[in-house]
Amino acid sequence: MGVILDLAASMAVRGAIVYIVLTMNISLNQLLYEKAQYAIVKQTAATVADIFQNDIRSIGYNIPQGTSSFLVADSNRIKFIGDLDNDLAIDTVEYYLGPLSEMASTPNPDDRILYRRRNSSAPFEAGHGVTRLFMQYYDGGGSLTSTLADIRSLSVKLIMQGATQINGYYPTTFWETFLLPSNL
Amino acid sequence: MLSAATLVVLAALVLNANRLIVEGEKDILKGEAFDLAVNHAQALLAEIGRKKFDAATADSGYQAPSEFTPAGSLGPDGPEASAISPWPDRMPFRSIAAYDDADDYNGYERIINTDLLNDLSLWVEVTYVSDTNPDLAVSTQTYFKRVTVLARHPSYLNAISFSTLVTN
Repeated sequence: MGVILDLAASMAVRGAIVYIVLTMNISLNQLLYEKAQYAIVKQTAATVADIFQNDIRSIGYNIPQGTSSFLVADSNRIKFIGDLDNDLAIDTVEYYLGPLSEMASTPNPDDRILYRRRNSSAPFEAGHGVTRLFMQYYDGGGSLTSTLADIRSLSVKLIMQGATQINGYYPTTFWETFLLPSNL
Repeated sequence: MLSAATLVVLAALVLNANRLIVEGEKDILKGEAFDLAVNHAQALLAEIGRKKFDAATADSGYQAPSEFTPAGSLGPDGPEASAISPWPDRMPFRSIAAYDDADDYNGYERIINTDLLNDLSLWVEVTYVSDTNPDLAVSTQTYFKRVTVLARHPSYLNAISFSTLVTN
């Protein structure tokens, strides 16, 4: 009887050990996967931010005096003019979010594509996985404004998420900034 | 006995793995706080760079350094200081309209609140620096001021500084 009890206890301990090792292994693998997915989302957001900031820097550059630099200034859509290449030709740049249906194939129900359109060229997919783009515009006094000609600065909030859930949530990164284009 | 020892070792390993997971989450927030600090510090430096060098800056003609604000008086004057209320400044930033020259920002503090993090603080120091050594703060007026923005977050960011030079 004693031997059987010993064997049973030994099996229970071995089972516990195997369970602990497996659980730990799964947790660490999930962590690794989560980190990798987060890094991908972060890198995408950094690229989008670089492109966006580079364009914003040219708002109003080389345009005739008295012309409004902004054509559209919505919370999730912006269209402006400026000489991007310093070639005296005025460019029009637009950023907007595509419909949710475009990313319906991903498990994430909120992700969208951020489009950048320059002049009349076909829209360029600046970033996949944007779940929120929110912009606010300020006048010279620092107050919120919706009058295009009065805009002197803007705040931008961009939230990007991975396509698939890990441990119950989507890898998320934020890019938030406040921009004062020097030609406004 | 051996099994018990193995269990203890494994328990320690599991605890260590859990700590790794928690630290990983904290590292992500630290990274986000750092990015946020960089973006907002750059924006603040750009804002300051667009202002006049000094309250006494003239539109044209030669100016001797002695005409500028004395080093001990760098900072906003009474009306400028009272224009930023409540203190510290928060979005929408009152400093944009209230301050008209770079040294008004000496002692200025801005708090950034976002969806992810609250209470990221930016603090500004403005000093005159030597004409020949821009890293050397001096107590007399010169043609150069160093603007330093110190960013910190109580939980996720140790103080980091960003600086630039402005000139007349």
